[in-house]
Amino acid sequence: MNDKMVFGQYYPINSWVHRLDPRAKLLSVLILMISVFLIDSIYILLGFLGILFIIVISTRIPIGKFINSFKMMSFVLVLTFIIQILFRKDGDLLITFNFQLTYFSLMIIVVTLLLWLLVSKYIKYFKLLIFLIVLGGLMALQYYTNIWGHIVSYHIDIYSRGLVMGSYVVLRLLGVLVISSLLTFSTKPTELNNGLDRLLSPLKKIGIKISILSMMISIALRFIPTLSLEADKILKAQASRGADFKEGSLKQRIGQIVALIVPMFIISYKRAYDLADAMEARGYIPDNDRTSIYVLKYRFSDVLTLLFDFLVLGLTIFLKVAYAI
Amino acid sequence: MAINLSQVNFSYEPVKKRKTNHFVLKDIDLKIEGKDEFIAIVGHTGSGKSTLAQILNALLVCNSGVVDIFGKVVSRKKKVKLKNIRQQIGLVFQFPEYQLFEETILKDVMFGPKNFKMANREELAKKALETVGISPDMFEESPFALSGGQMRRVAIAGILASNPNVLIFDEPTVGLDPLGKKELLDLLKKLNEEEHKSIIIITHDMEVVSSACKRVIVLDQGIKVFDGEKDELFKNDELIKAHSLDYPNSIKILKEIKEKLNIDINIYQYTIEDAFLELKRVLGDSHE
Ligand SMILES: Nc1ncnc2c1ncn2[C@@H]1O[C@H](COP(=O)(O)OP(=O)(O)O)[C@@H](O)[C@H]1O
Ligand SMILES: [Mg+2]
Repeated sequence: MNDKMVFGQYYPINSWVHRLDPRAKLLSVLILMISVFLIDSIYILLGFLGILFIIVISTRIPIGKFINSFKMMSFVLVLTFIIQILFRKDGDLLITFNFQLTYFSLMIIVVTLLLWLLVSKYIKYFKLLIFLIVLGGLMALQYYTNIWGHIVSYHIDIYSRGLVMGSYVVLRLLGVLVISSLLTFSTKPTELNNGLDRLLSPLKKIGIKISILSMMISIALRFIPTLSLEADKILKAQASRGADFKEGSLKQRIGQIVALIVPMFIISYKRAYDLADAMEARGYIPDNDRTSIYVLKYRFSDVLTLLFDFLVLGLTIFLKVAYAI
Repeated sequence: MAINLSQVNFSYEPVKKRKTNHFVLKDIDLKIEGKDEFIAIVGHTGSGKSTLAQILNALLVCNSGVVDIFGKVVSRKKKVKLKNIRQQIGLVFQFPEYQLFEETILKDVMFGPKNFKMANREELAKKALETVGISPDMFEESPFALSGGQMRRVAIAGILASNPNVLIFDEPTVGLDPLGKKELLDLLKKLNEEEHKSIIIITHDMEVVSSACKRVIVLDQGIKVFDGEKDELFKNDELIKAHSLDYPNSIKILKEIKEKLNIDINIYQYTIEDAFLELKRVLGDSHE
């Protein structure tokens, strides 16, 4: 199995964050996330993001990887920001924009949107940015021109609270994204699973058997690459019988997908039975206590990390209380 | 010429990184006729045999070079009708029984002809099933109720039904018992002799090569190192050694006998029957 078969977002280097115990990392993520949501001063939030940025730099995971995960969320970020600005109506009124929708501007808007639909699939980079610029241009058109048949006037008020809350939401989401990306970039899925297993194992006392669940997860993780290879083979085998998964009517395409899904089910079942037999042959009993081949040990760096996390949490709570008074 | 490859290179990595790419196939030149050929492709695991088969079926497209299949050039730039190519070149994957999915055997075999929009699909399917030895009273049964060997034959019928001129089999005898292996080889010989199909077998098994094939292609780490008559290959001891190939049993045994008894015998016999006849000829002669 080669590098490509390592799925997920794990970035294979050996930084200090990579070396941390997965339990410490999971707890850190939990504590830092709580902190992000407790902070209610924009300056402290910026400071918090600054610290995160320093941590990110120190791991030497390429910043591009983080930017990629922002890209996927950028639409949501922009949308929440705009919604906050449009609908928050408290605080000071900062500025009012008056717009005139005329037949002229309406026509241009419709034409531009149609053009966008045609052209957008050829835009590879900065799609959202270009869209925002186009949108800004259309708004500017309505702001500055008032010719050819006036339809309706409307205005957008921007309040200070709207701006502040919009920035809050965006910065908080950014914080959450950085923290969770840091975890997934630095921790293999199997490590995560082991960490969760060990963290939650006290639940056994109240009758919840985490070990079975984590065994299920680790088996599933183990079989994702295998089954994706099998799926590739079946796909090719059916393609060589003329199956075409891209063309044809909906009904035809569903028929073709069945040609992929049925064999995949059969292969999965067969693998599952084989594995169950192999596990039983080696004496696997689901409820038994067993030791793990992965021994997790807290080290000094883990303790330090957790101390730091609690410090951050304590500080945010202190500041929150202090500000409230 | 049905298949004509020239200077074909292929890598599984994205083209972007071409400079550092690991090529799985390197500068392959290959010509294959559309009828009457019986070719074995041999080579070690990872030498690129399965990859080559998928190039011939247009499932993979080469990075550079020309792949011309029945007059259609497959390339990344220009789209051609792949369906025509796939109808004319049938590819039977390793463990083809996993591609079965329909409710009945007949329906499953008709999947290919239906996709290729062939007119007489039911007749084609029935004929293909008959060729592989599945009796008509089983046509309406579920393919999943069959034994392993029968499933493989139904899967092969699923390829035959599209009536391709060239048939490629990727390790068809793996996992079969000796009888199943012999039946399969007999089927391939029949297709070759009676229906004049070109057959290409990918295999590790020198018995398969010696008993059925005429021409042999040897791949080693993505390079075609031999292409010619099987006689020529087995007589070239250096080549066999250089690429650590094996001799078929009949040759091995006759060689041993020749050395031990020090008799003048033609060791290049490809079936047990021929070897026996040759022995009888030589020993009979010397007894007189
Ligand atoms: N889907 C794939 N993705 C990446 N590499 C592959 C893939 N399939 C095969 N390879 C690699 O290509 C090389 C040739 O493989 P293959 O054509 O299957 O050889 P053979 O059939 O002779 O055993 C091997 O090194 C293999 O690891
Ligand atoms: Mg192979």
